[in-house]
Amino acid sequence: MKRLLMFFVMIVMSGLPVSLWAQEFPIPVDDANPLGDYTNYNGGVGSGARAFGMGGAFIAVADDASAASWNPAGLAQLERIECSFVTRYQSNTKAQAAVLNGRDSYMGAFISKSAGYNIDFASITLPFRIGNIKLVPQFSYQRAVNYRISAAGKNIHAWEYLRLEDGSLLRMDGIINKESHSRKGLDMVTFSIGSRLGRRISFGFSVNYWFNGLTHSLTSTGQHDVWTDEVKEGFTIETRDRVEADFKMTGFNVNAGLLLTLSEKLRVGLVYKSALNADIHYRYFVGVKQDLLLPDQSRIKVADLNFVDVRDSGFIDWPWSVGMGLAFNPVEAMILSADFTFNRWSKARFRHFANIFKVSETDPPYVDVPFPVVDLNQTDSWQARMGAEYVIITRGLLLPIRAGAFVDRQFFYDINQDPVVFYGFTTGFGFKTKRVALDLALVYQTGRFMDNINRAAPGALTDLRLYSSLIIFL
Amino acid sequence: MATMKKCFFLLFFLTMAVLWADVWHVHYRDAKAASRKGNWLVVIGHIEKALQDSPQPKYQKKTYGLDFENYFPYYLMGLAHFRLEDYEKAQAALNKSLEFGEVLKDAALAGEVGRMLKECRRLQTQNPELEPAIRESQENSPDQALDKAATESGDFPDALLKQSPPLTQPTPQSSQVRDDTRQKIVDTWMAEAQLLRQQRLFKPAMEKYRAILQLEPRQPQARSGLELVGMLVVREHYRTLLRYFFSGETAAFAEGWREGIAYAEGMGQKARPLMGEMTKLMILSRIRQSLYENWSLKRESEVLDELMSRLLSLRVDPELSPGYFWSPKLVSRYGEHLARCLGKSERR
Repeated sequence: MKRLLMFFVMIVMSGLPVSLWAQEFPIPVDDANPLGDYTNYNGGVGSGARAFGMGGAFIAVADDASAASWNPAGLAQLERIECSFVTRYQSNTKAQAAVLNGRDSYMGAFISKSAGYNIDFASITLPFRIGNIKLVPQFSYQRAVNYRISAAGKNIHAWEYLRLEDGSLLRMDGIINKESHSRKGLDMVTFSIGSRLGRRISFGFSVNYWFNGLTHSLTSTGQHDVWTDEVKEGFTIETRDRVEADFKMTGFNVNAGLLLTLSEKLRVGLVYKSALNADIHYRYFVGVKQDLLLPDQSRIKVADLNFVDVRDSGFIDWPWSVGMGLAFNPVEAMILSADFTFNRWSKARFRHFANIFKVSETDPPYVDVPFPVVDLNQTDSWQARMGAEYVIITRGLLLPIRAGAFVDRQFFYDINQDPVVFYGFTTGFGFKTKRVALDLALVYQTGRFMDNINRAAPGALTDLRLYSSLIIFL
Repeated sequence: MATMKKCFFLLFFLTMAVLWADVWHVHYRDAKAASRKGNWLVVIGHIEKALQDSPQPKYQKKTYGLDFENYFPYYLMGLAHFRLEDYEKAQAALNKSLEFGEVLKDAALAGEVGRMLKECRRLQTQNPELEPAIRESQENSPDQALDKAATESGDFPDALLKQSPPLTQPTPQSSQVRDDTRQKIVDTWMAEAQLLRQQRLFKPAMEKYRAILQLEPRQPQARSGLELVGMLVVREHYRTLLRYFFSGETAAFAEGWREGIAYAEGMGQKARPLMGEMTKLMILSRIRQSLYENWSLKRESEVLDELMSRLLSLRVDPELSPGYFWSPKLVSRYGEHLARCLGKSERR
C-alpha cells in the first residue's frame, strides 16, 4: 500500500511543475493557462491599436506615438509633442480534445479559459531642434510580455495506467480542477531618439531597460480513485497542490532602426533588436496536501509537505531579432504594408537555473527535466504580417478603418517535431481630431498543436486581444 | 579611445547638419506660419524647398500619421510675390496654381486668385518690358475694344448700311433750299440720333443715322455714330449672353449666341474681340454641360482636372481674335462659377 501511495503521489504531481517550467521558456504555461503569452513573443515587437489594427505591419509605417516600439527611425517623422496610452484586454480559450499521452494515460476533453487586462504602452514624444537639425526623443513604457492573466480548467477527467515493477498494473481515475492567477509581466522603460539624414533616410535608436517579472500561483484539486490488481476495490485520494513562482529579471538591450523613403508612395523600414542578457532572481515553491478517503468515508492524512522551495538567481539569454517592412500608399488616404520579423529563439537559454530542480541529492523529483538549459530543441521563430489602413476624411474629423492578417511561427515544436504555426486576423477603427486620436483594434489568433512534453496536450487554442490607444497631440 | 569617440560623434553631427533637409510638409507649414506674420521672403524660401521635395500640389495630401493638409504651394508663392509687388512672378505662380487646379474646391480662394491675377495685369503696366503685351491685351478686352472702335478710323462696316430701311422723310425741292433744308434736317436728325443713343434706344438711333447717310452718304459724324451704336449693340449681345450663361438658360444662350455672332460678323474687324469672348462663353457652356452630364461617371477630382485643363487650354480662333487671352475678370468669375457648379453637383 505504501509503495502504491508513493507511486501515486509521484504520478499526480509530476505533471504540474514540469509543465510549469519545462518547455515554454521562460514563461510558465500550465494546463490551466495553456496559451500563456505565446502570442507576445513574436507579437510583442511593438504596441498600439493603430499598428495592431493593420495586422502589426508597422515597421515601415511607424509614424505615430508608438513608433519607437516598432522602428525607432519612425520617430523622425513626428512633428508635434504626442502623449500616448495603450491598454490591452486579452482572453484566450483552450479547447482540448481527449488525449492519450503515450500508451498508458488519458486526459479527458475540457475547456479552460483565461482573461486579463493590462496597460500595454505609454509614451511621451518631444520633438525639438538644434539649429536646423530636428531630434525626436521619446520616453516610453511597454509591457513586452504580459503575465497578468487568470485561468481556470474545471472537471478535467484524467486516468492513467502504470505498470509496476512486479508486473502488476496500477490504475487511477479522477477529476481535477485547476485555477491559476498570474500577475506582472516583463516590462521595459525605453529612451528612444530618431532623426533624419537628408529627406529620404531616417534613423533611430532605443535603449531598453527590462524589469519586473512574474508572480504565479496555481491551485489544483482533484479526487482520484486508485486501484491495483491487489486492491480490487480501490480507494479515493483527495489531492490539493499549490505551486507558486516568483520571478524577476533586469537587463538592457538596444534597438536600431532605419526608414528609407524611396518615393512619396513607397517606404522601407529595417529594425534590429539586440539580444538581452538579463539577471534573474526567482523563488519557486510546490506544496502538496493529500488525504486518503476510505470506503467508510473516514479520512487519513497522507502528505503535507513543501515539495520544492528554493530561491536563487541566474541569467537569461533573450534572443535578438530583425525585421523588415514595406509601406505603400496607392492613394493619399490609404496605406498597404507588410512586415517580416525573425527571432533567434534557438539561441535563447536559461543559465544557472538548475537548483530549482535539485531539491534533494538523494531523491531528485524531476530527473528528466532538461535543465540547466531550458530546451535545446527550440527553433527560430518568424512572423509575416500584412495590413491596410484607409482614412475617411470628413469635415474636421478623420475616420480610419484597418484590417490585417499574420502568420506566426512559434519557437517550439509539437509532439511530432513539426514547428507550431499560429494564424491571426486583425481589424480596427478609430477617429482623429486635431488634438486627439482614439483607436481600437481586435486581434484574433488561433493555433492547433499537440504539446510534446505536457501531459495535457492542447487541441485548439484561440486568443482574442482588444487594444485601445489614446494619443493626445499638444 | 575617448578622443576617437568624441571625433566620431562630432563627425556624425556635422554630417547630419550638412545633409539635413526637412520634408515638404515642414517647409509648407513654416511657409504658412511666415505668411501669417507677413514674412513673404521667408514664405518664398520655404515654398521653394517644399516644391523640391514634393512638386505636385494636392488637396488633402498626407503629411504623416493621420495628418492631412491642403498643399497649395503655388497659390502661397503667388500670394508672397504679389505682396512683394513682383507681379510677373506672382502671375506665373498664380497661373500655375490654376493650372494644377489647387484652389478650385474653395470658391473664396478661387476668387482671390482671380482678383490677384487681375491686379497683377493692371499693376504690371508699370513694367516697361511688359507694356506692349499688356497694351495689346487691354486693347482687346471688351470695354477697351468698344472705346477703340469709337475713336479709331478704319473701314466702315457696310453691313450696317445694308440693314437700312427705305427713307421716308420728305425730299427738298430747289438746290439752295435743298442744301439749307438738308443741313437743318441732318442737324436735327443727328441730335435726335445722339439722344436716342444716350437713352440706349439703339435700333431707333441706328435708323436715324442710316437716314442721315441716305441723305448725305459721306456724313462723318453719322458714320462714326452708326458704327459706335453697332458696337454697342454687339456689346449688348455679349452682356445678354453673359446673363444667360450665368443663369444657366442653355437654350436662350444658344439662340443668343447665334444672333450675337451673326451681328458681330457684320461689324467687321473691330467686333472681333467681342466675338472671341462670345465664342469662349459658348465653349464654356458646353464644358459645363458635359460636367453635369458626366458627373456620375467620374471622380470629382478627375472632372475638375479635365475642366481646368480644358479651360486653360482654351484658345480662341486667331482669325476671330488675334493675340487675345483671358481677361482677369473673366477668369475670376469663371473660377467662382465653376466652384458653385461643383457645390451644386455635390449636393445633388
